[in-house]
Amino acid sequence: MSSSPETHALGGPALDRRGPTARIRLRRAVGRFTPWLLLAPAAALLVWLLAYPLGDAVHLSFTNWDGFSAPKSIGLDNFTELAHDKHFKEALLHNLIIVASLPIWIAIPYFIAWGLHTKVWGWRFFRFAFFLPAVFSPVVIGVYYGMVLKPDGPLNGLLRAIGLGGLAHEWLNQPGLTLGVVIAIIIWSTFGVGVLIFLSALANLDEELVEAAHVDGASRWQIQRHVVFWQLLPVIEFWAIIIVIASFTAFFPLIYTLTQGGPGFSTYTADYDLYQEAFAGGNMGYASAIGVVLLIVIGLVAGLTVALLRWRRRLA
Amino acid sequence: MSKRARLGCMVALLCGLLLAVSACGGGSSGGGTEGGSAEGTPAKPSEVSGHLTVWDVFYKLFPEYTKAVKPLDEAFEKKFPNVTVEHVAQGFEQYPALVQAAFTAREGPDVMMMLPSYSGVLNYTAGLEELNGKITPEMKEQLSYWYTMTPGYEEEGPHYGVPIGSTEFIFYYNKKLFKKAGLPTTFEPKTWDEVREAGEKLKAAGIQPFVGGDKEGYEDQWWWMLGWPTVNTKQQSIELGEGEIPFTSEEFAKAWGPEEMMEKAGLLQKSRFTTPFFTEGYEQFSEGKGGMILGGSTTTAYWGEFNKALGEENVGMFYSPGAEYVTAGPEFGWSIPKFAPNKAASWAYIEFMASKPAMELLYEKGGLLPNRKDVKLPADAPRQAKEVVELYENNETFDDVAHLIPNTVAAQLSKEAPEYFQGRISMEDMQKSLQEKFEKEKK
Repeated sequence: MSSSPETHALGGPALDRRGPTARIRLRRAVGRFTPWLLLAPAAALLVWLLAYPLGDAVHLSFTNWDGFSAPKSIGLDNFTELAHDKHFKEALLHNLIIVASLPIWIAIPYFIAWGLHTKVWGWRFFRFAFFLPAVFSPVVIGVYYGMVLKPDGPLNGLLRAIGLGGLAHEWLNQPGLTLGVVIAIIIWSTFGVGVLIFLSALANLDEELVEAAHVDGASRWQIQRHVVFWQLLPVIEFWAIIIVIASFTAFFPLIYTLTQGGPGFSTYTADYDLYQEAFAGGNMGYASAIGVVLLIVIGLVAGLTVALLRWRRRLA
Repeated sequence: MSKRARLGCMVALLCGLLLAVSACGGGSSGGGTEGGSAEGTPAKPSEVSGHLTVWDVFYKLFPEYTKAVKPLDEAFEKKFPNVTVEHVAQGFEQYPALVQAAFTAREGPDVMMMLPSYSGVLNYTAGLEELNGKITPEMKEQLSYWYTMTPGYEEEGPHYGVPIGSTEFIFYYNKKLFKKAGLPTTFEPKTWDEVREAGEKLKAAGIQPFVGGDKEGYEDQWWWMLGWPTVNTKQQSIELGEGEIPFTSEEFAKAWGPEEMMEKAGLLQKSRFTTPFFTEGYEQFSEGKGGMILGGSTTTAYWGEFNKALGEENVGMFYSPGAEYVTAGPEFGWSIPKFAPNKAASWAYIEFMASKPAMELLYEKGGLLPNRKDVKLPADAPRQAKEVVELYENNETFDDVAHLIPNTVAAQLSKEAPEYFQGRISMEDMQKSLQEKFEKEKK
């Protein structure tokens, strides 16, 4: 840019001196605000779809609201009642039992992924087959197993046909057994996702470390235990958190279609209880209180799980 | 994976839960009430127009009723050419949840099917239009069971729905199998013991005495409902619903007597707790697999289907022996939610469905017994239909006790009763648990 005498008179040279600094400042300011600007639509959506309804749900948890009339503030009554609600406590216990199956939930996809990673014969087919249940709707799975596990259904029929009739059970009508059956179905329907997650993590494994361990004479099990496992630990943590959260929130459709919380209340879970209170009983305030307690419990259990895994890593 | 990325994942996953929690949140503004005008006058086709969405629980669930829906809607559209009807089938078990969600969101159909009494319409009065200003004197005079649509179970008072049909539960028996077991083919038991003895004779003859299905716990509820009027009065059923008689009372426990008696005698199927009633249970009776069944007096598990399979002459019926009154009520009611945008068309639909031609069509196509005084069964109606009408006309009737208690308590009863009959919980446990639930609901 050429400068004329006029521009000099108007302070052109001074502008020229300050020009680059201003541009840099402007660029920096734009640089600082651009991420916020780009995040704004998503943040607005989050506020609209999450923060506001969450605040509303927390507010409603301190009210008595039937969904028709205006909510009536009742302080901590819903939470006090919840503390004495035997069905809610039973439901929460069932959720915690589901969470307690976490080691199985991690171990099965972990070892299957390792097997597939070693490119066993037909690994592509198995990868597809193992993932298949994950694409089925929980409703379909619930209805399907409802038929398979009937007393005169195919599973008992098969057991009887091969001379194992003694193992035939009323799978969905024995309180001590049904929750175990539900957990097994839940694991079956979700482990394919875990396999994929572990497979992708294994693909990024530091092979040099594995080879070094191999050269040092480590056995396959030692390599697995001392090299691979620690490299996959962050992914295991991630999978564990997904499972913990899903254990409390994601299996309502399956339980609804498979057992409806029964027999009695033996497979009743907290999310099922929330649904019943809100939409069958019209106790919106109470259901909101269940939701809030559930959120806190999930936070605690997820935090505890991660802390446990990190503590294990630090120990190692 | 970095710490920040892990945190991000955790936040994203928690978001899913927040969405679930926040589903309980939402607006809470109250709906307005349309002012009660003078007594209703019939809707004029030229003055009504628009599109109607009708929620129906029985449509596509009960085959016979389903056959009647289309002809009825077509007849309505013919009479009201400016109105179109969209009939939406809703799931029976999910219906209370859908209705609750619709009221909470202030959005949904123009016309809602409602079950009678507290199990349906009276549980939602805050969200439904009061219809007194629309109900014509003729309609009021002709239809029965208005009390099931009115708080306090009175014939007079605010009506939140229009009752349609006439139904309840009744026992059916297979005359051929009775004959085979050496039992009379006109079975009119005076006591429950006589029913038990008949069952024992059937059993001795190698015939399953009772068939059905109780996976959902409905059958236990029906036994309780039919046991109730044999040991309690209709006033006591109202008192149970209003909390004056607790679930821990003798009155409640005694009503289980008949089912306990049959269970103890080994007359009920062992597999009933894993057999769904509507999809498998009642078909066993049509297939001639059992001597008796507790079924509906219309629509499903009723004479229409049994007659087709077993022959009209082979299907017998009896009501709870020694009952103080006969349980009877409408099959359902039609109601208008307060949020319905086109209330004039909604009312025109309901008014038409309660009319004489519509109720005749409903019986002709769907087998639903009419609850209009001026609709008589045709001369060639099955003997069973005539017997049910006679039973209801010649006895004091009242809605069944299960319709008078909150939905959630009835649902819990259906969960706990199978547990009781399988020996997993005691009667006292069940009673205590139901009382706790009832108190919570009433609070």
